[in-house]
Amino acid sequence: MASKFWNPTGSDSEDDSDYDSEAEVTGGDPATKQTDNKYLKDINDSDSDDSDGQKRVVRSVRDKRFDEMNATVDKIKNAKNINDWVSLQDCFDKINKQLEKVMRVTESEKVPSLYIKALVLFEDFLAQALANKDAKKKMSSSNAKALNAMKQRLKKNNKQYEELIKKYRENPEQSEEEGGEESPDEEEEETDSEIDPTEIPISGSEGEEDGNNESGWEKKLSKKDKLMDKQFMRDPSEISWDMINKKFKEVVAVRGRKGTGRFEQVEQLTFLTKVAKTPAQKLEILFSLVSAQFDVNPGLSGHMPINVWKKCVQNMLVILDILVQYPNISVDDMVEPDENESQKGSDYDGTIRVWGNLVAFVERIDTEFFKSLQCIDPHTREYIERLRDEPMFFILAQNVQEYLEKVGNFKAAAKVALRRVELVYYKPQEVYDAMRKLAEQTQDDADAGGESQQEAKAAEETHGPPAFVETPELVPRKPTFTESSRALMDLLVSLIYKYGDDRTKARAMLCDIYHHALLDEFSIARDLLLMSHLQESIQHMDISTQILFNRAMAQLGLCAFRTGLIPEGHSCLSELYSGGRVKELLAQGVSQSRYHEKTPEQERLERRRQMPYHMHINPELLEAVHLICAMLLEVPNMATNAHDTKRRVISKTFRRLLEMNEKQTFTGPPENAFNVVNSLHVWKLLRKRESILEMLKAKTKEEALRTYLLTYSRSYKTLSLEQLAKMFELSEAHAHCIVSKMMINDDLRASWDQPTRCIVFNDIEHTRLQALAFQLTEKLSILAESNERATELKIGGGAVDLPMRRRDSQDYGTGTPALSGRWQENLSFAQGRQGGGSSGRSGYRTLGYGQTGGGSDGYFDSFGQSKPRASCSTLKILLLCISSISLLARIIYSQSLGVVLNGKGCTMLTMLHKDVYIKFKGETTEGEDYGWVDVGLVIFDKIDGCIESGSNKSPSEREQGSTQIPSGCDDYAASGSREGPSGHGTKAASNSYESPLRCENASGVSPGGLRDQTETARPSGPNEHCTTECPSRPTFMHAPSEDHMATVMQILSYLKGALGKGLTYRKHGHMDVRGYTDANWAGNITDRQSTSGYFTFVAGNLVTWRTEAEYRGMVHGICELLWLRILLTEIGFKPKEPMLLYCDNQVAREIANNPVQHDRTKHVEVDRHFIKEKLDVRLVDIPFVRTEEQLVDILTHAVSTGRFQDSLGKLGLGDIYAPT
Amino acid sequence: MAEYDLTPRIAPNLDRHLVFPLLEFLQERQMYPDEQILKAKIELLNKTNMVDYAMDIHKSLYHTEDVPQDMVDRRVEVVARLKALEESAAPLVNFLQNAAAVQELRADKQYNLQMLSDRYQIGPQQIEALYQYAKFQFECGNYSGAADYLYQYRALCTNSDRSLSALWGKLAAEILMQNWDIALEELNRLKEIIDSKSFSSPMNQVQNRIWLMHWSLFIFFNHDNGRTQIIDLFNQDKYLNAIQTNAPHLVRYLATAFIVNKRRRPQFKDFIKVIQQEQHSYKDPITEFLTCVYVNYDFDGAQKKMRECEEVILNDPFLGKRAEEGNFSTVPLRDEFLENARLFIFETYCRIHQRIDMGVLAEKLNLNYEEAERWIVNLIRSSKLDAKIDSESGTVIMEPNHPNVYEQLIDHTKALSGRTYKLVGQILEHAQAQIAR
Repeated sequence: MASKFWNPTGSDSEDDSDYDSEAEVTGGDPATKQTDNKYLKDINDSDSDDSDGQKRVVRSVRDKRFDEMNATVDKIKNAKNINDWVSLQDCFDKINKQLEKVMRVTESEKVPSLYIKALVLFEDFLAQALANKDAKKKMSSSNAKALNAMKQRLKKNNKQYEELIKKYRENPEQSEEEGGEESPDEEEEETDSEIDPTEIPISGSEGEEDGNNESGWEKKLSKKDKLMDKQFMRDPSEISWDMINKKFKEVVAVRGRKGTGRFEQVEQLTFLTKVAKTPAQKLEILFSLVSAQFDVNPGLSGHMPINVWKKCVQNMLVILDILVQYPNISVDDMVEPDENESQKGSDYDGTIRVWGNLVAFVERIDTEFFKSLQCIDPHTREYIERLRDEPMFFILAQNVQEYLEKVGNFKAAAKVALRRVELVYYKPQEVYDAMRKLAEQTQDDADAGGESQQEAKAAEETHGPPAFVETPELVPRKPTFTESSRALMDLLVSLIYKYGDDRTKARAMLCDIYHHALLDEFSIARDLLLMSHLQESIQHMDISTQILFNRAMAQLGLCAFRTGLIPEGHSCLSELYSGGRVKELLAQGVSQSRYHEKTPEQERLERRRQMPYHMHINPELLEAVHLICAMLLEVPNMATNAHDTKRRVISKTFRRLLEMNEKQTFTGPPENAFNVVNSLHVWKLLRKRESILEMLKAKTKEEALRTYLLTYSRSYKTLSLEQLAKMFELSEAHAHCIVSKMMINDDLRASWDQPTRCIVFNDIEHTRLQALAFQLTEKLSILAESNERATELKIGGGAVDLPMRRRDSQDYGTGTPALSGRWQENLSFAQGRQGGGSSGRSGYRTLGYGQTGGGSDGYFDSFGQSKPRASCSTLKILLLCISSISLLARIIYSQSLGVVLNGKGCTMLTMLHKDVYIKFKGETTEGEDYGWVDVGLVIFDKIDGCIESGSNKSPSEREQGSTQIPSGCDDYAASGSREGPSGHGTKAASNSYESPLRCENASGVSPGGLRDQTETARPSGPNEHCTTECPSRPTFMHAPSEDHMATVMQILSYLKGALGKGLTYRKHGHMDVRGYTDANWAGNITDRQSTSGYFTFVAGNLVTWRTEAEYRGMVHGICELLWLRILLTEIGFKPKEPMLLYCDNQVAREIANNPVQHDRTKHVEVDRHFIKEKLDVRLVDIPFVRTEEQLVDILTHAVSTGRFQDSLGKLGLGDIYAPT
Repeated sequence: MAEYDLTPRIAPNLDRHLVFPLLEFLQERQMYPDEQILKAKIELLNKTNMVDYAMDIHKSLYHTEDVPQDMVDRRVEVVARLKALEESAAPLVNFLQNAAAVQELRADKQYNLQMLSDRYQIGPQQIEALYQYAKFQFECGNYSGAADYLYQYRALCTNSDRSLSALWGKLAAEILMQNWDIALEELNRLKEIIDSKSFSSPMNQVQNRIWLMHWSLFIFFNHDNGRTQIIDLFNQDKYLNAIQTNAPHLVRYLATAFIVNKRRRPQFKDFIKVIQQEQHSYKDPITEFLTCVYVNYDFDGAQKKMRECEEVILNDPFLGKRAEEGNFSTVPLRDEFLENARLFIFETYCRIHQRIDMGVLAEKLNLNYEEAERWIVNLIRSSKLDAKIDSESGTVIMEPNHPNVYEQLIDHTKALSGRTYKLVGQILEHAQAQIAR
C-alpha cells in the first residue's frame, strides 16, 4: 500500500512530487501515517526485529527517489529536444533537490550515478547549445536568459562532481551498473550497522582519548570497515599510494557538502593518515584532517569542541614532526602542487611541495582557543580546565615559530610570535610563573601519561591498520619558558619588530606597552607609545587592535597611578571614561545603551570581540583609580575657579558624580574622606599596596594644601608656614615647595616673608570703581571686536557687492524713485559718452547700462581683479537679444574671455581696451530691420583683442560689416579672422584667444585669486560651482590644512577641465523669462551659512545666476526677474507672458500663494507681501518643479558629477571649443 | 666622582683617535688608576696604526724596555703598507703638490676628472688610492696630512658615501689638530649633509646625528662662540629627539650651555620640561640643579647641587677645560657656571619673596655678608632687581611688582583707538567704492 502511494503517478510533474512530500508530512491517509511512524520508529531503534519492514520501506523510499530522479532525467531529455531552457532550468533545480533527498535517504556520501548522468546530459547539451550560435540568436529572451543562468550554475555545480563526471564519461555503462550494484551494498550497510551513525565519531574520539576503550574501537572499526576495509584491511601490503590518494580525494571532495557527517570525515581522514604511504602523503592528509577538524563546528559564534581542539593540536605537532624529519618537504599555499607530488617517497631527495599554511592553522587554533574561553562560563571549573590547555597551544606556536625561522620564513614566524605574545602580555609575573610551573608539571604528567599514550598507540596499532609512516616525536612537547616574562616578551617582540607587517607590529607594540605598564615601567611604556605614534593611527585599525589599544591605555593609566603620576594617569584614563562605555571599549562586557538599541547583528559582533574573563582589567580598580586621579586634579581646580563656571573642567565625570552626590538629600557619613578611599576594597588588587596608599596619602595632603590656600587665601593676610605644615601633616620644606610652586605659577598671589617664615597674601582687591572700569574696557574691546567682525563680514570676508546688488534689484522691483533717477542719470551719461563714438550714424540705437559709465573705475579700484558683473549681465542680455533677433545666431559667452560672438547673423564684437562695441545688424523674427545697433559697454581693461564672427551673408554685406568697424579698431584687424567660412573663422578666433584665456585662468586659480572668488561669491561664469562648493573661506588661509589643499586641488582640476566652458546662446523661438530658485538652509558645513541661488533664463538662454548666503531664495529670484523685465523692456523686448519662477519647495509656494498670514511666517512677512504682490499682478508665476529637475541645486548643494554635468547641459554651458 | 664620568658613555660614539684627549684628561684628573688608563690606551691604539706611541705607553706601563713581538711585527707591517699606499697614490699626490697644475682645476667635478684622466693619467683608482692613503695617514696620527688629502679627495670624489666618510675624517683630523674654526665649518657642512641626505633607515640618521653631536662637543667647548652654537644645534627638534632617544647624557652639556648663556630664556623653559621628562633616563647634579630651581623650588637642594656641579664640571673633559694665566690655572667655565647658577637661584628666590634676610641670603649665595650686600647693590644698580636694602633690619625688601590698575586700564584700551581708526578707514574706502559705482 505504501509502495503504491509512493509510486509516482504517470506524468510525475514537479507539483506532484511537491504534493507528495507534503503528503508525507501531513499524512492525510492513516495508512501512510502508520507506515511513516513505523519508519521513524525503525530508525530509532535499529536493532528491532522488524528489519524486514524496515527494509521494505527503505527500498520503497529509495525507489521512489530514484524513480523521481529518473523521471526528471526523462524530462530533461524532452526539454532538450524542444530546446526549452526555461524548463531545463526547472529540471536542474529539481534534480538538485532530489539529490539532497536521495542522499538523505541513502545516507551515503556517494552521489548516485543517475545524478551524474543528468549532469553529463546537461553539460553536453549546454555545449551543444552554445556552439550553435544561430539557434542561440533565435531563442526568446527568457530562454536565452535561462540558458546563460544554467551555464553559470552548472559550471559551479559540476565542479563538485568533476571526477565523477569524468569517470562517467569514460565509462558510462559501468558506472551505471556500479550504481546499481551500489545500492544493495549500501542498504546492507544500513541494516548491518548497529550503531547510530551520529554516535560513532564521539565514541571514536573517546576511543582515541582513552586508548583502551576497546568497545569504542570495535564500533569504530565496524563502521570504518564498511567504508574502507574492503580495500585496505584485508591486505595491507597491497595498498598502493594510488588507492589512498583516490580515497583521500573522494573524502575531500565531499567536504562541506550538505549531508556529510563532519565527524565522520574527520574519522576517515584520521584513518587515512595511518595508512598513508609516503610522508608527503601523510602530511597532505594531515593538513586536510586539521581543516576538517576546523570544520567540525560550522558557526562563527560557537567554539570547536575541546577534545577536537586538542586532537587538532596533536595533529599539528605531528605535522611538525614530519616536517622536521623530512626537511625536503616544503609547505606552501601559494602554488598548486602536482597531482602526484605526494607520491614521492621518503627517499626522494628533491623538495616535495605540499599544500598547506601552517600560520593560518596556528592562528585558527589560537582563535578557537580564544573563542572557547569566551564561551565558557568563567566561574566554572571548566574554564580553569580550559585555561590549563594554554601551554599546549604555546608549545605548538613555539614549535611552528622555530620551524618557520629554520626555513627562513621570518614573516610568518613573526605572525606566530605575535600569537605567543598575545598569550603572555597580560600576565603579571606571578601568573606567568604559575603558568610556567603548570607547563612543567603537565610535562611530568605527560611523561607519565606518555606511556599510557604509548599503550594507546599500541592498542591503536593492533586494532587499526599499522601506520605505514612512522613519525617519531621530534619536536619538543614541552614549552620552554624563560625565567621572567619580560625576557620572553623582549625576545618575541624584537623578532616581530624586525620582520612583522604593520598590523603585527602595531599589535606587538601594544602588547609590549601593556606589559611594560604591568611591570610599572611607566616611562618606558610611555616612550614606546609616543615613539610608535600609534595614538594617531589607531582609529584606522581594526576593532580588535583598537580594543588592544584601549587595554594598553588603561593599563598605562594604572601604571602611572601606581608610580604616583596622577596627571598622566588621569589623562590616560579620562578618555576611556568620557563616553561612559568603558565596558565596551575594553571589550569586557556588553554595555546596554539607553539611547539606541543594538541590532542582534551588532550585538553578536560585539560578543565575538569580548575578552575572556582571565584577561580582564578589573573594572572597579580602574574606575577607582580614574576617580581618584580626577579628584586630586579637580578639587584644587574647582577651588581656583570657584566663582568662574566657565573655566576649564578637568574631569567631567567627576564633576557629574559630585553634583549627584550633592543633590542627594541624605549623604552617607562623610567620616574622614581619606579613610573612605583607604577602605576601598579594590586596593587588594594592587601589588605594593602599602606604598601606593602611602603615595596616595601624600598626594592627597598636597592637593588639600593647595585647595585650602586657594579657597581661604582671601581671608588671611599672612599665614605662617609652620602652621600650614602642621595642619596638613607635611614637612615644612615640602609645604614650602608646594606654596612656592603656586606662587611662581601665579595660582596664588602671595609671597614669602623670609625672616618670619610666613606667606604674605597680596591679592589686590579692586575698588568698585576700578572693577567697573575694567568691566567697561572689557566691554569696549568686545564692541570693537564685534564691529570688526561685522565689517569684515561685509567688506573683507563677505560679498561686498552682494548686499548692494540686492538693494539695487529690489529697488528695481519696487521702483524707488531715487534709484531710478540714478538709472536715468547714468543712462544719459552713457548716452553722452557714446555720443562721441556713434554720432552721425543714423539708425543706430545707443544703449547703455546704468552702471557702465561711472561704475567701472570704482569696480576696478575696489577689486582689481573683479569684473563688473552687472555689466556682464546686461551684456549677456544684449547678446541674447541679438541671438533671438538675428536669424541663426549662436553666441558664445565665456566669462574668462568676455564675449565671443560666433554668429551666423551679421554680428561682431570688438573689444578695445576698456570698451566693447557690439554692432549688429539683423532682423527680428518679424522681419523688422533694426539697423545697426551700437552698444557701448565697458567690460575689461585687461584683454585686448577682438573677435569677429564670420557671416553667412553675402560678401558685400560682409564687407559692409567690415567697414562698420569703428576707427581705431586695430585689434580687430589683427585678429585676422574676418574672412573665410564661419567655421574657420571661429577656429581662428578661438586660437587667438587661447593665451589670454590661459593667463586668465592662471590668475584665477592662484591662491589669492581663489580667495577672492570665495570672498565675493560673485557669479563668475562656469567657475561658479567651485566658488559655492569651496569651503576654503578666507579664515582658512591662516591655518591651511590638508583638507583645504585637497579642496584646492579639486578646484584646480575642475578649472582645468572647465577651460573651455562657455555659454552658447541659441535661438529658441520665444522670449519668455524664467527663473529657478532654491535655498539650502544652513547647509554650509563650516560656518552654517545658508545658501540660496537662482538662475534666470531669457528666451531659453541662461543670462544671470547667483549664489549667496543668507537670503531667502525666492524673493531674490523674483527681484532678479523684475530687473530683467525692466531691462528687457528698456531694450524693447517687453515680456508679454508672466515670468516663471521655478521653485521646488512646496511649502514656500504655498506660503507665497496663501492669503492668510501665519505667525510662523512672520519673519518672512515683508518678503511674502512682496512676492504676493507680484503674483497678484501676474508679473510672476511660481510653478512647481521637481527636485530632480531643479537646476539651482548645483549652486546650493553639492551634487554628484553626473547630475552636475546634466545641469550644465541644461544651462547651456558647453565646451565652446568643441567642434560644432 | 667617577660616578658622574661620562667617558664610557661618550667614547663609543667617538672615533678612536678622539677618545685620546678624553683619556689624557682622565689621567690628569687622576680619577682612575694610571695603570687602568694606560691599558685602555694600548687597547685603543691596537686598532690604529700608531704603533710607536703604543710601544711608548707599553714601556711606561710595564716599566720595561722590551716590547712584545706582535707590536714590532705590526710596526713593520704598517710601514710596508704605508709605502704601498704612498706609491699608489703618488701620481695624484704629485699632481696636487704641483701648484701650477692645481690651478687648472675648476669648480666642475666632471671636467676635473676628465682632465686628470686625459692629461695626467689619473683615474678613479688613483683617486681611491688617495682616500686610502689619507685614511692610513690619519690612522698613523698624521692628522694634518690626512686633513689635506681628504680635502683634496673631496674635491675629486664622486661617490657620495665616500665623500661623507671623507668629511667625517676631515672633521676628526681638524678636531685633533685643534683648528676649531675650520672644524666648525666642517661640522656645519656635515650637519647639512646629514639633515638632507636620505638614510636607509631613520635609525641610521639618528645615529649619525648622535655621532655628530658627540664630536661637536670638542668644538663647542673650545670655540669662542661654541656655547651659543651648542644650543642652536642641540636644541633643534631633530637633535633633541635624537638625544632623548639614544643619548640622554648629552643633556648635561646642553644644560650647562643653557646655564652659562643668559640670553636663551625662551628656549630654556622648554628645556626644563625635557629635563623633567628625561629624569628617569638620565640625571646628574647639573640637571638636578635645574630641577631644584625650576621644578621643585627647593633652594637648599639647589645649593647643595650647585656644589656638586662644581665637581662635575671640573671632572668633565669638555667642561673642565683649563685656561692658563701665567702660572695660575682656572677653569673659566666653572666660574661662569657658578655665577650664573647663583643668579638663577637668587632670581627665582626673589620672585617669591617679599622680604629676605641678608644673612640668609649671603649664606644661600655662598658669599659673606659684605660680599652679598655688594652683589645685591650691584644687581639693583644695574636694575636687574627691583628691590631695596633695609640695612636697619638687615633685609632686602622686594618692590611689589603688581601692575598698576590704571596702567592696566590704559593697556586694555590702548589698542582700541587704533583698531577703530582702521575700521573707519575700511568702511570709508568701501563706501567710496560703492558711491563710485
